[in-house]
Amino acid sequence: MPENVVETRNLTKVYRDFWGRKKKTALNALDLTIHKGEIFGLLGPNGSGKTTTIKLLLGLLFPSSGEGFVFGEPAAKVEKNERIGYLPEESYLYRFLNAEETLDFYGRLFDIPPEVRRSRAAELIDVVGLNADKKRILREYSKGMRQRIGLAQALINDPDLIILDEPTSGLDPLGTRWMKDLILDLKKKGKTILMCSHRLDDVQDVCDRIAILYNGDMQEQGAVEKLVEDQKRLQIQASGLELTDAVKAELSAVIERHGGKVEAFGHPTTTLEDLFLRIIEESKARPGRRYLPPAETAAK
Amino acid sequence: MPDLTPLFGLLIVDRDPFTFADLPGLVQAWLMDAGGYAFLGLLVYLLYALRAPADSSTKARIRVSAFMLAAAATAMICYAVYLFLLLNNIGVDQLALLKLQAFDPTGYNKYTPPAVSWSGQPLALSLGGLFALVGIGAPFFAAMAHLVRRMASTGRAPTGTPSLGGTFALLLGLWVVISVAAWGVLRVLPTAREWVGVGAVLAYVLTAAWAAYRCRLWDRMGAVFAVAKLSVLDVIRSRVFLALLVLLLPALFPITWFLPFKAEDELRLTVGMTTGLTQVVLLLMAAALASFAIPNDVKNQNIYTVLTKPVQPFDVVLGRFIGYTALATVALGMMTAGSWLLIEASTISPKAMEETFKARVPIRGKLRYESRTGEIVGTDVGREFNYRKYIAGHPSSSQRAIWSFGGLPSSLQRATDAAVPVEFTFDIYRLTKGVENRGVDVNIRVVSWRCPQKPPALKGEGAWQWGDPAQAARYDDRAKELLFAADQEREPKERRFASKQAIANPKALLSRARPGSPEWEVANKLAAEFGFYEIVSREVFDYHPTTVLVPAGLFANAVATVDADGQPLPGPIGPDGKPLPVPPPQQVLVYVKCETSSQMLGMAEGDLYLLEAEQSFGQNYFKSAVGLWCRLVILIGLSVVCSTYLVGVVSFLAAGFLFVAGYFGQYITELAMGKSTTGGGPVKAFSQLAQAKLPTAPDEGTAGVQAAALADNVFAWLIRRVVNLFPDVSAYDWTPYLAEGFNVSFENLAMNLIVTAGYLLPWLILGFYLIRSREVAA
Repeated sequence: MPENVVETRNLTKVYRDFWGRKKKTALNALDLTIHKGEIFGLLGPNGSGKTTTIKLLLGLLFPSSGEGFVFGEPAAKVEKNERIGYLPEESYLYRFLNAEETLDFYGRLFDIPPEVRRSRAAELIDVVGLNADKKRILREYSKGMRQRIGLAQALINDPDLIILDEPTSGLDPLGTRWMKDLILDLKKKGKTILMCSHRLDDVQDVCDRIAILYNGDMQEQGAVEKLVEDQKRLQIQASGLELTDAVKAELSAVIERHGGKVEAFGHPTTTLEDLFLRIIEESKARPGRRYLPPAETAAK
Repeated sequence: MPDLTPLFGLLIVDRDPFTFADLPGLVQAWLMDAGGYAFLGLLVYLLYALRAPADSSTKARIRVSAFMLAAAATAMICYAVYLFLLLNNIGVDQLALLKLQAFDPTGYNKYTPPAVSWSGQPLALSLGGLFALVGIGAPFFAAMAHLVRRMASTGRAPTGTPSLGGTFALLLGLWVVISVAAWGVLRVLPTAREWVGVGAVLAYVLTAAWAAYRCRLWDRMGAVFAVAKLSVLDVIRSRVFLALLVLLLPALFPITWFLPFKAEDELRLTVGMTTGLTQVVLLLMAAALASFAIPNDVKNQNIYTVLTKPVQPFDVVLGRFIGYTALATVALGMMTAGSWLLIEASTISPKAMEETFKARVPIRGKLRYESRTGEIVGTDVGREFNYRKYIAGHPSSSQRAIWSFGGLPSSLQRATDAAVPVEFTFDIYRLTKGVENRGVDVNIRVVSWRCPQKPPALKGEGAWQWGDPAQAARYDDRAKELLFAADQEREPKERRFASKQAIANPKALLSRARPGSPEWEVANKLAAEFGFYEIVSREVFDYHPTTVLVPAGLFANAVATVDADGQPLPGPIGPDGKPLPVPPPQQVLVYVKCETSSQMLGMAEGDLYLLEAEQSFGQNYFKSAVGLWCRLVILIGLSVVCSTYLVGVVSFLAAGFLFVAGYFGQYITELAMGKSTTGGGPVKAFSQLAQAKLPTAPDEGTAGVQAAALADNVFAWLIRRVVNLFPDVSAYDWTPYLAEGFNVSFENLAMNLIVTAGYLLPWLILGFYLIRSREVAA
């Protein structure tokens, strides 16, 4: 039986106006369980209740009814935050601090002894690749750099549960890949990760399980592979041959003989992200590389 | 020989500063007033907590302990007892004395601090308030205790740092050593009191700073220090200090360039400008910074990353409060030091230096007025500012203004040149023009309790008599004898008297004596023997401060228990016929008479005082800054607490309103009590308006009038409760003392700190609940 890190029972949040009149049900009777060591994704359009769920679990909001537990403790208990790292959607950090001061500030909030705080801050600044900019104040940082330092502050306490709200927001493809690799790396270290994102490909790439929310209600929950698998269709991949009409006809005959129907033949495509990363890697390896029009390429 | 040029002092003491003697009464009033609000808060909290759904999240947030319930129940019982006593009219409520009073146009409403009452009603109210405060404050105090426990834990500070408890014990030990050393130095050098005081305070502060460094207090404070440091960095990097410097530019230009002034007022103007500017700039800056910090954190959502750490929400409030207080302290220190240097470096007119570039240590007495017919209230001459009362001037007038002094320090008996200065500033109200360029003559008689004076028996007799006429005769004889003996000591050609009998008016001769002269020695000897000294006539001018000198022997007479021959002297007898200890409460009395016909002499209690010592202007300048520091702390506290619930602008306005209303607190109370204006309270005034009656029209005693009076009493009670929300800002204003050259005592400053803590504590408890119940992400 896997250990539950996060558990909600009938968790509901209703926003009310000053007079107590109901304005909106942001979250409706959410039952959710996140196990230790998994990457869990919360999906949904804007206003579906993803961020509300996270804020309820962090104690930034109080539930209207129901209960939320983190590490078995009620979500309202401050002490549970000792083991949580949180990266908000926007990097809401103090922009007059530099990277070192930022990590020192958040380290102090965890009561980390000074020597540990200093060494961990230096290590994290290195991990997020901000060594060269660690003395610059955050106001001068790009959005991606702020997201990186935001992640560093979320990891300053070496947390067991990391909550990431739109972690790849504002990152370029390189940064996105770096973030996804880091998330997978954290999973390998036994951390539990709860993330929510609009970028479905990111979620699909890293998450073990997901829940889909819409209008405050949970619509679907389960393992990513199971949920995306299309049981009614079949895919065959082959290599070492050319797709001629004869090959097509022969394959169609076999499939039709077994009661199936060919929908399309073609070459598999890579993802745009993979293409982009390959080109960047090649550019790094060959500094003179540049785009040439097809005619020029043919002439060469 | 001391400089006999007049020592000036125009300070209007319309309220006495708080002293330690006021502390019990203030504590009781605080328990009743703050406790009342605490009880209301406790009831609201319990009602909310008991009706809120009891799921685990709510339970974790809203805890109602058995202790809290027990405290609430006990408080409720106390208030029920109070209600019972009130309804049955048992045990006088001292607050009842504050209900609507008849307007007295001749009365001056001097602020009187609350006194302790052991009657049933105030006691029940105090106990109820105490339990309510303990009940509502329990979670707050528990959080503070938790914070201290965490600070004491070794995890936060670097490895090998000395423990908090050990360092604190060491600090206490050092403070004891400093106190004993200061006491020892004072025993040897009693005149060095000023520098010993300043040195001791510096030593306390420096050792405290060393102790904080030794145990790495800032590391131990964890989140509180982190947020405090953040606040400081925010201000420094947002360049608020630059704005501060721009605002201070006017201070570089002497105010005397822009305003016409009399030479003696130069320092008054400069002090008023520097302290006023410092006050306005710092108060505005503190209020703005403290009001907007938390709301901006919420608005910019920075608080999300803070409160998702193991940080109690109140740690953020405390951190902001400490951070801005530290900033304000540094800014105030710099501005005070800067303006002091400016004053020291500038050339001030000698007249101003003489009047105000010092810190007098006055000993104040109690004033009463008496005449042949007994005690009188003094005449109201119709001035709008009825601070002073007047006595009629005439040689045959029996009216006297009498100051009585008690608890006098022994240093007066050892005064330099055996002369104790008595300073006074009187107002002259002229019924006739009088003589051009001529003041009025006053007679001042200073006596110890051993030389009681009694008013004349017959109308038309102006001179007050000695209680023992035989003693008066002995005084005259002895005076002549000693004066003649002193005269004989001179060179023959300088001798003035052929015989003892040739000395016609020894009192007049003695009253003109100067310290160091043989006559002064005689005066001093006589004062020590008889407890009597008289300045027969002294010309005084309107609002012109004057000094007379009194022989120190008179103060020795007041405390002597044996005479010159070692024979025991009779002790004082109380009004009940029982003997009193020596010296009695009224140790020395000063009788003032106006001798000039058709002139009225006006005076208030603060207008005459004994001058114990003079201290330096510089140390007084820094001491007076403590009052402003207290005001800054109050404003920062109010702003931070308001900002836990309100948005920045509203918080700024709310804190500003509360603070500014504090300047009018006493006036509002007087208005509500009917003391400041005629016509009663608002309901009665409205009824008079509706009926087109004059405010001075007599009451008819109808049911309507009685109902209006009752409603006004209720209104007065409510207003008094509301006024308790305002800080007592005027209690911290030492600028008049500084500007007029009067010393601010350490006792008064200690009381400032205590009152500040007492005012802020309930507000901080409120802030604790507000931030804890706030959904920052909503």
